[in-house]
Amino acid sequence: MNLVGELVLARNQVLQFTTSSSDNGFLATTQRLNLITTELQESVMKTRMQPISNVWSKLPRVVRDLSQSLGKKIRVEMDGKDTELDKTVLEAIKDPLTHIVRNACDHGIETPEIRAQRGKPAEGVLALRAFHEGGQVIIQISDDGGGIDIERVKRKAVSSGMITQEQASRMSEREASMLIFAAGLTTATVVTNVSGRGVGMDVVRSNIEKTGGQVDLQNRGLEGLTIRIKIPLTLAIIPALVVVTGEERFAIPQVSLLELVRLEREAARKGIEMIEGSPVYRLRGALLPLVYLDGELGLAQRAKGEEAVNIVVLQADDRHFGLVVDRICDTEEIVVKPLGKLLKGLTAFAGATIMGDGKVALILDVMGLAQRAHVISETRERASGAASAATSASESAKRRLLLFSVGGGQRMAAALEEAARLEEFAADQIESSGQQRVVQYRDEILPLISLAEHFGYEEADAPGRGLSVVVVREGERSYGLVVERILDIVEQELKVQRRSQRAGLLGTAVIGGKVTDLLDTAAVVKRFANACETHAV
Amino acid sequence: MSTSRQFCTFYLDRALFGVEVHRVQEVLRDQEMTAVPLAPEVVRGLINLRGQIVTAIDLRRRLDRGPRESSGRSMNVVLRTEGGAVSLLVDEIGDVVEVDDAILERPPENLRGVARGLISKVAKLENELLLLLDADKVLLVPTKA
Repeated sequence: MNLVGELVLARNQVLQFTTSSSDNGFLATTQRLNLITTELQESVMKTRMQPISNVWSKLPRVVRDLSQSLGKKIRVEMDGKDTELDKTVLEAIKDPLTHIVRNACDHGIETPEIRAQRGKPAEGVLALRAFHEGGQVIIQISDDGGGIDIERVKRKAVSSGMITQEQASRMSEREASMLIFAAGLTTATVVTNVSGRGVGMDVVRSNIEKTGGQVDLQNRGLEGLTIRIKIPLTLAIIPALVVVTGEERFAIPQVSLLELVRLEREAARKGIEMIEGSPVYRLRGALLPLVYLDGELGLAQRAKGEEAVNIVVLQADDRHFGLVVDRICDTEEIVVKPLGKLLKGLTAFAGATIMGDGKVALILDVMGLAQRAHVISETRERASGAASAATSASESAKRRLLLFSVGGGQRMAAALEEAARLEEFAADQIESSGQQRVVQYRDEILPLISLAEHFGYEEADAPGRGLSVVVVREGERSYGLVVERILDIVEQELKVQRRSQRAGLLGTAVIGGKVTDLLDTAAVVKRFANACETHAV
Repeated sequence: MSTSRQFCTFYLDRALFGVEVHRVQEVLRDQEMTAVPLAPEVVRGLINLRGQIVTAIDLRRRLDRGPRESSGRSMNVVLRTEGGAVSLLVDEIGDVVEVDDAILERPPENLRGVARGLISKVAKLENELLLLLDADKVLLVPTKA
């Protein structure tokens, strides 16, 4: 592997000479050398790739043994067994993965008795999923157990002196649940030989971060817990964008790169605005915080506003920011080399590489840089799981949105593909079943969910008037969402500005020039369905 | 009977320093260097040593000595460490000298400053003193808060 890395570097160096040579024979040979190297690199990479099932195959047994000794019933489901990962990465995540699974069995999934009390099937489900997303491999471990008891985690953290009472009370749910990754915290009241010794999740996290990955979790309360592990596809050779700032070259991994924006002199002066001294740029209507790389790294700063401004739009976690650099060069395959022990503490760099001319260039750690520049901060409320999942899928693509109003002109939007049909029902078509308003619709009884009611707006419909209904399908069933009026269908890029904590809302975006709430259809329907079930019980 | 050890010597600010020869991987002439922003001050940069990236430490800064007056090029003394190779930048390279344990002495009490912690022994050579550095301590760079 290292040899291939060397070869790629040597190839890059040879390619540098081709620009200054006019010897045709030489050019043709280097062209071939280039192709062969690329192919060799690809095939070596391929041989190193192994399916994740190599690691997963041991897990069912772990779970079975554990569930027997704990007196629980747990079923393991696996999806995406064939997802391939680099051998070294696979090796590195084996232990963390086993640990997470053991944790889920021990703390997550409840005993059959408790599950029965909570109205869950006696058998718990542990679902493992692996898939590719944007050049990264995502491994998701979800259980349908008791989730994390946020209050208990906070109490534990306070009593062990990790945080103060005041900090605890200010913490968001998400931050609090991230506390389980802190060292020395255990929430299990009983120390078993399985877990509960307070060493664990912190080790899991550091092991995964060592491979360049990230861990994230989504606490769904009593519905369970999902842990997401993000792992860069290959570690050794990555495509990167090379930029220059203050005489120094830096490489930016392409995974984090979204787009490049160049502002000519006039546009730069107008386009970059300041909010309390922090520069921002309006990128298609959304505010993009800017970070000057030279300033951030303490390099000699160029006089601003003299020349064109180059902005590299980057993604860190689910946030975007713009990195201002002096010059943008080219993309290149780079070989990631670790920094020595002395420089390990520098979070702004992910490593170093050797460029075509033999000089060393630093690889920027986008995440670390963003944190350093406070473009993203840990303390800030991060997006809730549902919102980030929904937006990451849509963030860069144009989406067709259905615009409607709810309860007295409140503008809302939902993804058009979620709507199966738009219907108008006359007043006399509406019947009721128990408390529930329903209509007969295509040989089905369609329950009607009033969005105005759901969000606590005044229901504006006058008796006797017909209803505008958006029919959505969720699984096998259809539901009718009652809206005040269907306004429009628009196609535009969806930039969620403010993520909402409110149940049933994904967030807020500017659609058609006006502030509009984004409906989380699935959540609304789910809540409705749950409410029905509890009525039924 | 006394034993003797070999030391690789070099000059820094006109003083003669030495490290044990088995710690030294190689000695290089001035290399092209890439500065590392935000790094501790003593880290001068990174060099490309045949495809390996090596951190270079400015020994003058490490020993709290002022910058070099003449703009002569510095030499790299590349040391082997557990965490890969590290290079020390020195003014001029000396010889490999054989030092008999009998002429070693603890650093005198009036030696002060950072150097005190870094110099393990002083060898009394015929015409000058050789200050023996504790390589591990030299490489233990205090990280900036």
